[in-house]
Amino acid sequence: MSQNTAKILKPESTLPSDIQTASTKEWNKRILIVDDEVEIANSYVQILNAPANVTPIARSSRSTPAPVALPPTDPARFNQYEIVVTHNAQDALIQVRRAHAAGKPFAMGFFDVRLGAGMDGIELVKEVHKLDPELYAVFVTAYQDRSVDTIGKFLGTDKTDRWDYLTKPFSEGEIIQKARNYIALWNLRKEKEQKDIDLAEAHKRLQDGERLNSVAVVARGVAHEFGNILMQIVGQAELNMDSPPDDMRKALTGILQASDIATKVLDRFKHLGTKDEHIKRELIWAVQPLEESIQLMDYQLKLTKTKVCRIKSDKIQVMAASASLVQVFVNLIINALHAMGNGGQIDFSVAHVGNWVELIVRDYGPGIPKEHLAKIMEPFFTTKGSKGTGLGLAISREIVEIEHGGQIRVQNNPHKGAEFIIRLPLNDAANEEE
Amino acid sequence: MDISETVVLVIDDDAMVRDILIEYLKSFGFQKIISARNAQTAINVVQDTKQRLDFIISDWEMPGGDGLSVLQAVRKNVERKDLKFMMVTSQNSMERIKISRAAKWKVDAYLIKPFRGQAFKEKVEEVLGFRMPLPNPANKKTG
Repeated sequence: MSQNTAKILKPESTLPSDIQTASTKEWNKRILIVDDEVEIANSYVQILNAPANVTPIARSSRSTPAPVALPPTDPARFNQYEIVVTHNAQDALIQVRRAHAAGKPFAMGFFDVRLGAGMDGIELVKEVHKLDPELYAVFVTAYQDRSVDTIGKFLGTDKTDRWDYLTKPFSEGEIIQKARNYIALWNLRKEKEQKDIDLAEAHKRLQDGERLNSVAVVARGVAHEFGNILMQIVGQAELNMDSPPDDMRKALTGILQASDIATKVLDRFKHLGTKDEHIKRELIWAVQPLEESIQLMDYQLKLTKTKVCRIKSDKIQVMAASASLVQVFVNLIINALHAMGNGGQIDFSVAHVGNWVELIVRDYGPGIPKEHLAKIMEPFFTTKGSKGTGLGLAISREIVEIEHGGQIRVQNNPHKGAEFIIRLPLNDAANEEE
Repeated sequence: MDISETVVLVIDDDAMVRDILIEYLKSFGFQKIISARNAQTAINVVQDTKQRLDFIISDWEMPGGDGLSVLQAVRKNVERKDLKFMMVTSQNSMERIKISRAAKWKVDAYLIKPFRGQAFKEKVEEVLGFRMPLPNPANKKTG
């Protein structure tokens, strides 16, 4: 067998740029050829990069420069691929490792199944995929020595879309078509991956923005409370500047009480959590995030004279990210207040239901129109016009379903109003003693 | 206008703040001060034309109805429409919208909590158009 006969044929830099489209210009067009028969290996190069003539490479001649290509017949196809030719498994693996490490991986490869002694093409691809799982492999063989099923089983089900099969003798068209398809597939997949990453990033930014939105609602309430607290402090200090000691002591006590209230208001803010706290899950009492949300919304609840009813408060623990759930409940409370206006009522319930903890937030507003029920948790759906982002419920759903593996659904209360039902999976061990 | 005869209505849902506003007003020399803890009670006072009223100081955000509803009730009432009205509120992001909405209903002054006695006094003087005597400890009742 030949050793170390890898050779790289680079695309010519004189290639006119206008024959490549802008979108494919940056594509990875690196192809690996593995065939122990030198002439067949080189014929791939000839077919793909279309030089009229390719001088076979002498065995064991690593330093021999690439043969000078003759003028091509089709300029668009001429030297469009970066092709590396190897004649045995060891060299192929070295090339794959090197290319992958250099950040210039192969998009695809043609693998002769019978490579003489040692590893065959299929075993080789299994090793190749350990180094570079994204490479597309096309097996080429003259014999029906392995069925497609056997290859599939051997390479594993996770790789079924990363290989293809071609029988010898192959036609030029087949080789060109396979190369085109898999180069395109590799690159489109990469582009999609990048888009997915961009999308996830954008999504995260939106989510952070929505969190700040509910923070803003809470902040407005806190601002009002602080105005009153500071008014009490300033007023009592100023009005008692020249008062007799008893009155002054009374004023100072009042000032300290106001300061204590201010401290409590600030404490509440901590429950809104920081960005990072939103992913941390720990064992908490299921009622805790609900109570914190009610506290955070205390000012708005009082302002709108909304009655808070705790229908059921089962003592139950659950693995959850408290700050995330606080965001969900603050959101639901804001929606309920928005739906009811002044003088309404919100029912809260925490119940142990089978393997779930069920949290219910029910309002007594007009309910949700039937045609909106299905869409209400979709992103960007809003009935608040420019006031709403349409993300509150979509993000709540994501927090419940994706972060917690739970369920969230909405229904109209048969009597009146809307009802949001959240179910979080229970960690059985945590509640065994209950 | 004689300050000791001027009838002031103070509206605030926070009892402590209400008391402090009243104490300040007493220190300025006002003697006839009535108060309400919500908008509806205040509106009832406004509608009761037998009750003399010269000046209203109202909180903006209150459970039930807000200060704007009191202002509107005043301006819509033929006998009360020229009543001096001062709006007091806490600083928050909605201030701009509030100020423009209050301006539409001809609010005479607008004050953001917290404020010092001097600022309060100057606003009151500006609204009522007369100078008040310096704070006199004898005028106020502490406790």
